[in-house]
Amino acid sequence: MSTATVAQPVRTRRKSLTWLTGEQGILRPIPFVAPFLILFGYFLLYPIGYGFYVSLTKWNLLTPPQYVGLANYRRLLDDTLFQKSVHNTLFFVAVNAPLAIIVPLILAVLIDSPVIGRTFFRSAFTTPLMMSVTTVSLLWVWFLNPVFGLVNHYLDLVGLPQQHWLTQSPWSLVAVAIATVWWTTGFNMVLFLAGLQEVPEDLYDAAKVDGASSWSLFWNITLPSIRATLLFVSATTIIASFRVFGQIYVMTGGGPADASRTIGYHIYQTGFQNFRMGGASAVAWVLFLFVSVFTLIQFWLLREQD
Amino acid sequence: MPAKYLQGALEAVRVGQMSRRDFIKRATAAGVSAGAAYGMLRTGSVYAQDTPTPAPTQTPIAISSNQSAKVRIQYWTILSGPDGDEMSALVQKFSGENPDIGVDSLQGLLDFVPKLQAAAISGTAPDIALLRNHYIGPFASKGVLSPITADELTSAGIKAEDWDPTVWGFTSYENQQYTVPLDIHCLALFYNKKLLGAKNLQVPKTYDDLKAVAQATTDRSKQVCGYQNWIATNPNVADNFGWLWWTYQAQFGGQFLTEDGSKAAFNTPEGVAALQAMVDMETIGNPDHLPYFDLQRNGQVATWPDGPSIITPMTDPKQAPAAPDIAVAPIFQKDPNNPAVWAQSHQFSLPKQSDNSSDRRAASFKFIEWMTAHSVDWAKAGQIPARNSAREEVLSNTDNPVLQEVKVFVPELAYAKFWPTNVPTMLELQSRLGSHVVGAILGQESVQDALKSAEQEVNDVIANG
Repeated sequence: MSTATVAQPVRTRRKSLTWLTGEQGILRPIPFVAPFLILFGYFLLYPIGYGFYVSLTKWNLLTPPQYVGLANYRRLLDDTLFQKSVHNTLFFVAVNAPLAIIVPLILAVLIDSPVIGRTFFRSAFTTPLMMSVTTVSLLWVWFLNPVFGLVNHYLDLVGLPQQHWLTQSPWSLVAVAIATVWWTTGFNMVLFLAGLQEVPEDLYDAAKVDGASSWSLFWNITLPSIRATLLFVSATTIIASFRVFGQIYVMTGGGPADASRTIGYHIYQTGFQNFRMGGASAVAWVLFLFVSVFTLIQFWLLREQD
Repeated sequence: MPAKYLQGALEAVRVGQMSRRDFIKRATAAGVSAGAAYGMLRTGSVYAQDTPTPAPTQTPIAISSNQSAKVRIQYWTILSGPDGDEMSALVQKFSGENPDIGVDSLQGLLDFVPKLQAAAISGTAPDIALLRNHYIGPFASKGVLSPITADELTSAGIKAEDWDPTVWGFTSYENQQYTVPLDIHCLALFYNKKLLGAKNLQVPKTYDDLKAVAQATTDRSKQVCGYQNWIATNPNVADNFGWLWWTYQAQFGGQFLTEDGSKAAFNTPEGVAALQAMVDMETIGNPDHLPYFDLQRNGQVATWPDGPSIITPMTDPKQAPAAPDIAVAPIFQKDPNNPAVWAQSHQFSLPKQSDNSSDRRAASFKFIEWMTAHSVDWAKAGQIPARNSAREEVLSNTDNPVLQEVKVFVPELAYAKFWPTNVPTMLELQSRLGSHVVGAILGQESVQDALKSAEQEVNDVIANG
């Protein structure tokens, strides 16, 4: 009797811990993912959280941070420079993102078809990817030089008016978008190509038997079939457009007269030129919210239809 | 490459790995590609013949001397291009004469301000930093620089009376000295003799003369500018815009900040007139806002204000094809009876050190004294020595071509106007004002709106510290 009385709680305890440490217990995967979680926590989650704390302070890195609550966020409401950078960023996203999605999609569709020299074109379109942002930006500064640049030379040859790309608003942002599309098209094109090669041929064959046109094939078969790729490309391209910095830094320095000052450049200027780390962190958090909202909207728009 | 490709394709046809049809397709594609590439190259090469000499590349210069010396000092400067080369040569000369001191020298740092500040934060700041006089406030207020005492100056043999008195007055923040001046640079008027001569024009001495010259020489069809406010097309506007704006502002009787530095003081009738004068000159002389450096050195700009450091590239035919036609004259004046010109000074500062080494500090003062005493060599990079004895050597020199041009700048020191050194947020204020000045010059905002917006932003920066 006494033995049974003693054994009963032990069995219960073992059974009760199964959900935690058993084969299906929630702690079971922890050792396997722990190395990643430690790095993820230390190098991503902690800096994000610390960034939020910094956004609640006034700090120039040389003196101890002073807690100021939400003052840095409130200041953004009246900060004309921040508002200008938001406006410029939205303009850049509106110009760059559609081009950086549509151009590679068209190129991918063309190259996916049996055209002459497709291997050559695949390599040619992906070559700019191998260059650094500085190289690409400096190249385009030369291409867009209003006096000696190739772009104005060709515009002149075909009778179009020459532009002063980097010293005119809003051409400076358009110029940065052109350079960005040229640089990133290859990457998105490769993703689209991978997506296109997953589309079953028999769908096209069946549609052709029904007399579908090329446009109809693209619109009703190709696009829906690469929805997942399109979602990924759209999300990453829009996020990258919001975060544009390197091209702005090298090509325009945010000018002329702040005409190409984007949120990313504003964060750099505020944090690492003016050493207002609290203000810079607050803007970084606002950028994070912008990007999150736009990404969620895209997921919703491109969700699977039942 | 195309020949090898075709040979490979022929071999594939021969052994039956490729059909004749495929071969024709590939050969055609290769031919079309090669033709297109040739066409593009040809277009490019024809175009390249019209392209002027490319701009000289600016790269940081790092040198390390006297490896076995017991005392080593680190020396950073904001200099780049030709003046960076001259400074490195001077460091080598110092090291040759002072084998007991090793110098790790770095010239031409891009983003000098954030790099020096970041180095101060991490306790790795150089022993000596050569910076501009208006950087004193921003760095000293954050504790990046260490003050210099009168005893230290005396021990090093540095006496205020050996220096130009005006520039010596711009070495302090809150009544504490932080720097020793190396040089002074102000604006003069660079002009193209050939372009002026073709229209029988004299070198402009007044603002009205300048307007007339710009009107007569501007030719939009040939991309010839009668005058350039070249800051407008310079992305590093925050650092450079003030060179021109402060000249106009001072000549028209305007100010930058109030006496106590608490508010903007440039949005006044004088300030409006000064900025309007800059806008008018741009409209007349460079209506298409063409970029500056390449056109200037290739002989397509009649007049432009610039500093003495540009003498070296502009008098070297390898860098400036129009060098024989380029000359320098004193800056034009709005009112010759009340002259003014922007001026700036490179100055030696001593950033705070984590170990407070007295040996390195003493070696740093020895270095500073030596460099200022030998600054006639530095003047060959296109700078006016701040130390009187070196400046007199410049004035008595008769053979160095750069020094002959530097002499033109020296009399302007009598009415030189420096940026203040006592404003902690100076660099941010310059950036805000500069952006709107450029906006007005490029026609993106009216003069009145530009100054109003700049005033609001400058006051906001000052209020938020």
